Amino acid sequence: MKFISHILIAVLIPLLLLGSAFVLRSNHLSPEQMIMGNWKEVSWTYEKADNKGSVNFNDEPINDAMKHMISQSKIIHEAETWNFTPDSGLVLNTHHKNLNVDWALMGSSNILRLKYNDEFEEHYNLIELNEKRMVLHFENDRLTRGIVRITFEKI
Amino acid sequence: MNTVSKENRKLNDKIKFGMMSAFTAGMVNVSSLVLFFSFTSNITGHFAILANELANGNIFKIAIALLWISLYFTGSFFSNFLIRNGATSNKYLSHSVPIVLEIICLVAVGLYGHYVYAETLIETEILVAVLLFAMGLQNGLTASIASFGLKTTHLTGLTTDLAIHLSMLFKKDIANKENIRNRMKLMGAIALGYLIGGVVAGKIIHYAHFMVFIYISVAMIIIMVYDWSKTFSIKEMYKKQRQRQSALFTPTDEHDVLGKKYAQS
Repeated sequence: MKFISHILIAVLIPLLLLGSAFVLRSNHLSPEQMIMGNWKEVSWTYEKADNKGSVNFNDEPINDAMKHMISQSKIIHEAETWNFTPDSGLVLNTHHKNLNVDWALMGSSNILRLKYNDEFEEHYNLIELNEKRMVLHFENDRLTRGIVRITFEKI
Repeated sequence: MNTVSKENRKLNDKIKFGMMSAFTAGMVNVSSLVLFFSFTSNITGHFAILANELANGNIFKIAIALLWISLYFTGSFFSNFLIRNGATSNKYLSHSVPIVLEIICLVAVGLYGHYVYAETLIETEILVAVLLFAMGLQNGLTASIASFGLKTTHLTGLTTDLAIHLSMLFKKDIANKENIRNRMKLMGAIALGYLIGGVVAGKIIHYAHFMVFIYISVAMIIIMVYDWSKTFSIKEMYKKQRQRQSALFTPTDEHDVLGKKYAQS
């Protein structure tokens, strides 16, 4: 009898914990659902940066010329709007053309991974995501070493 | 003299077992970090995420952090539960059940990841949860075997203990320095095992991908066989000891003669 009650406790405690976690998860919009749609880049700033000489990069908006140099070797180079589609596709709209890449959320949905042609892979920290705003961070070592912050607004 | 060699043998066994367990834990952690961007052999970070998300009121992420923490908890719970309530006559059987469960989890993640995984968020969450459960099982097992003094899947407590033990060596009036040195050897071996496991996983993950979990399962089988051989050899040792003891107390002719003389007098 005592052994049966032990077994019951052993099964009930984990089930209770797992059940409550699943109920909480299923009743709320997942980041995967929230990210779907069109996002427009609003600003590029340095979240953190090594200050070289008298130039203070922190919180300064990054101008177009700097942005061009920083993003030159990246998949997201010159993208203005990002369109996330349900089939794990992402269409990056630039002035001249569209670029199709694959996306996935990893970790505890805090990492956005982009893949282009199964060759190039980039990771961005998903710092903030809600129905209106999305903020991504990525590490940069061009111009100055630091973390770049990209802010988006839902179109 | 005999006691010292027994102690050494015990320590050597502990070092080998601890190092092998830590090796697999290091492999699992680095593999999950590369494949899922998430740690799976410790939950301190997940507790930090839980606290942060509680502060932000992000229910979805709270649920995920809770799910992962509860899976690790469940793994440790089951491991100790199976050992304490399992077959007392067969130590090997009660030790091997958590290892078998861990192997099943690792093989399941490896096969699913290799053949099915479409990189959706829910799949990532569940696979990380399964790995956390497996690591909970392993940590619960090693801690239970070593009377809660040995943990092989995370190194925060171990590094603290190692530093404390090292500082104790500088104190002159500490009586049992041998014991401290032995503990340090064990902790150093675990840290080294974990590190080597991590490096090996980091080297092979880029071509092995999810199959790395199958390789880890093979390492776990080696641990199981090692545990079986140790349990078997200890059993044999006790059996021989009992035979020797019973031989010493068997009445001989001389005892009989002495007994008769004593009775006549």
